[in-house]
Amino acid sequence: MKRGFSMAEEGDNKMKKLKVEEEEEGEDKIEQQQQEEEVVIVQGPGFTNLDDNLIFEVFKHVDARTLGMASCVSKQWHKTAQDERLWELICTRHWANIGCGNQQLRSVVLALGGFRRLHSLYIWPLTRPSPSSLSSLSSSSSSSAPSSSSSSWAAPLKPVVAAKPHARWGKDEVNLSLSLLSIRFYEKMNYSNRGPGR
Amino acid sequence: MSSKKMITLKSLDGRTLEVEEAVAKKSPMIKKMIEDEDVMEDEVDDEDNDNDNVVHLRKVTYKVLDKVMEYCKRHVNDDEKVVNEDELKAWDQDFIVKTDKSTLCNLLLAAYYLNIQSLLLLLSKNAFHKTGEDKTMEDMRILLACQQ
Repeated sequence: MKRGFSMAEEGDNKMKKLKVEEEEEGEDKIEQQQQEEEVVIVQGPGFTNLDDNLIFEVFKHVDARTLGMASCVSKQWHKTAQDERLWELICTRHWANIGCGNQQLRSVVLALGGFRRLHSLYIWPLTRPSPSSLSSLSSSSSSSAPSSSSSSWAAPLKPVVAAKPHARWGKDEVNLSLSLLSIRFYEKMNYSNRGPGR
Repeated sequence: MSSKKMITLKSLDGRTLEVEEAVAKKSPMIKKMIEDEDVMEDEVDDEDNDNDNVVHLRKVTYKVLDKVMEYCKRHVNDDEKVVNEDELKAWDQDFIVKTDKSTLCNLLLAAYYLNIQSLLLLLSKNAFHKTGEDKTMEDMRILLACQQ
């Protein structure tokens, strides 16, 4: 599974770095906490494992960046944070008017690769309009995607986004991100078909 | 006017807490336990028999139960329209801030166990603060600590 995932990869590296820091600090702190919390834990023997559903409930209220970070914490958290429903919530949170039913949107996006991918590729980079991240997006997408169409899409997006970073997305932005997702999907499809001498 | 029916909640460590029935019934789980007990009672038993009103909560410690009931007491009138939203929100935030981290963690688990949706929602929203990178990692450690 190579890469339009370059943005996600950068994000992952960032997350991994944070996680390593956390682990180093965490060693001392966890010991400390365990001493304080020993009393609590002893009193509640049934609470040694967080239920998956509970974690899911908590994750529902979290923003994208935190969810990404959360998936790096442990296997259980990773499994829960990968859930498409959570990413669907994150994607659609800021969409004022989707222009089609939720069920329709869901089936289309899931067929084209899922909400998590949609978010990491086309929404996350656009909601964080620091010039360096945008330029890295256009350079990484031009290097990863075989055709030039995705990089030409990325360029005109730059000025639009820099203007209003946290605006509620309207129908146009939603359609744009969905179009980009489907372009990517079909690119991948065509690329693999091109192989055996078509 | 009429005396409210009191329910005794027995925690994991054996200590009991008395609350009004309406407050205890904020938790659907407790509500079911109470109602099941009532159904099982014979007609002969009189209502003053305190033993029938003890609800055993084997997974919740007294400290956490106390906090949960504090929340329930404040929110017992949520269904009625006399609620002052801002005041309630401020109280909720204060409630979260006053509670120490390990208790918050156990509170989350208790809210899940007792199935108190509004408390669960409140705690979930506050589990991860958006006040910067370090804060987020700190909050994640809270939940992690619950797992260890």
